[in-house]
Amino acid sequence: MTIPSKEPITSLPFTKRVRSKLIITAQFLLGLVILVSIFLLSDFIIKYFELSFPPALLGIGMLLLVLLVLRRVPKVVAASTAPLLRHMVVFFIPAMVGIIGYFSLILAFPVALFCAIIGTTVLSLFITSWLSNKLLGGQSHD
Amino acid sequence: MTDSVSDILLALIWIGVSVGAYILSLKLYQKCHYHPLLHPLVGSTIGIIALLFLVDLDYQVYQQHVSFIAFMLGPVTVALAVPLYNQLHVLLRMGWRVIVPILVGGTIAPLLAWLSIYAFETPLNLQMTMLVKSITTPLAMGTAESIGGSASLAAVFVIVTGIIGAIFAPWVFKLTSNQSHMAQGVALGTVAHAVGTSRAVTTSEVCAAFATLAVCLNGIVTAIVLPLLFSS
Repeated sequence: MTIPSKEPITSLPFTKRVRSKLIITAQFLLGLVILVSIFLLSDFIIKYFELSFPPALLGIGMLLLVLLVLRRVPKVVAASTAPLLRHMVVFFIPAMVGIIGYFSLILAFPVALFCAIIGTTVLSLFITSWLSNKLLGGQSHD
Repeated sequence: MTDSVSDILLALIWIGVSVGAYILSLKLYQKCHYHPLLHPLVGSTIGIIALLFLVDLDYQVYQQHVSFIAFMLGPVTVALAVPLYNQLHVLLRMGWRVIVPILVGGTIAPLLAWLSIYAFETPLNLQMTMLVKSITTPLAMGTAESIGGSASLAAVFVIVTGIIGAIFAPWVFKLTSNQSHMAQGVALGTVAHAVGTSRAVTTSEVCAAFATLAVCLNGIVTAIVLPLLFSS
């Protein structure tokens, strides 16, 4: 399809907008297919060799290796990873709703869980913050 | 035939409801200046649980309907390789200065949590699940399952840990007189993973970058080490 040369000026930005939206969507979907393929491949490898660690982790390693070989992040990959990571929370929702099944377990050990989740988290944050400030506090970023 | 059609329809409806709940919670979170207690995951979970009670649907049936969302968590986690790749040069330049606090924090956080629930004589699967609480949710879920914990429970612990970390971070940074954005990012990412990182994003780009680095490194190291130690 060719764009008529005598097209009204006002319609140009619109067609351009639609076209760039289509390109972005296509890149996003292609990137998604790449991510799904990497994940399925690592899931297959983990199951085939009966390894016991998360398939997503192997997937991170494989994608990192590809990026290191290419020495850059391909546009299609960036086009889908950026929005996916920004809204990653959506993918936790099904698991988080599963908390309903653990209400009785949580209510059975309220003090233990309170200490473990609130107390030790603050303590760990304190220690990590102190240590990282000792090591990185004097350094400049660039 | 009609069964599978209605299955697909129900799946689409519940996926739509979940995404809708997320969008609404995100809007609320942004309106309230990113208050950690209003993290979108908190809002959308409460919203969906309330809706399930309202329409009297079992949560396991809901989980079946939205299994596509749960599946996509894997591929989305793979995407973490991109920020890791982008920060690799910083990691190499800062070297041990950035690796040591991440490893130390990544070790003491689960250890302290485990010790405190071990002291209360809780069931083993609860103890195993607690070990993964400071790593990012997708890795935590897979790791918890491979060491004999529960994926769902891991997700809950991880998110709550992140929210607690994000709430107390400003106070802890003041106490440790930590004013370096790099060091703050490392602490947030190591202990409070992705939720901490979303907090770091509001501080500065450097802070967010170091938090992302810490999330990736801590998650990867923990996910490799724990199954080796506790493989069932």
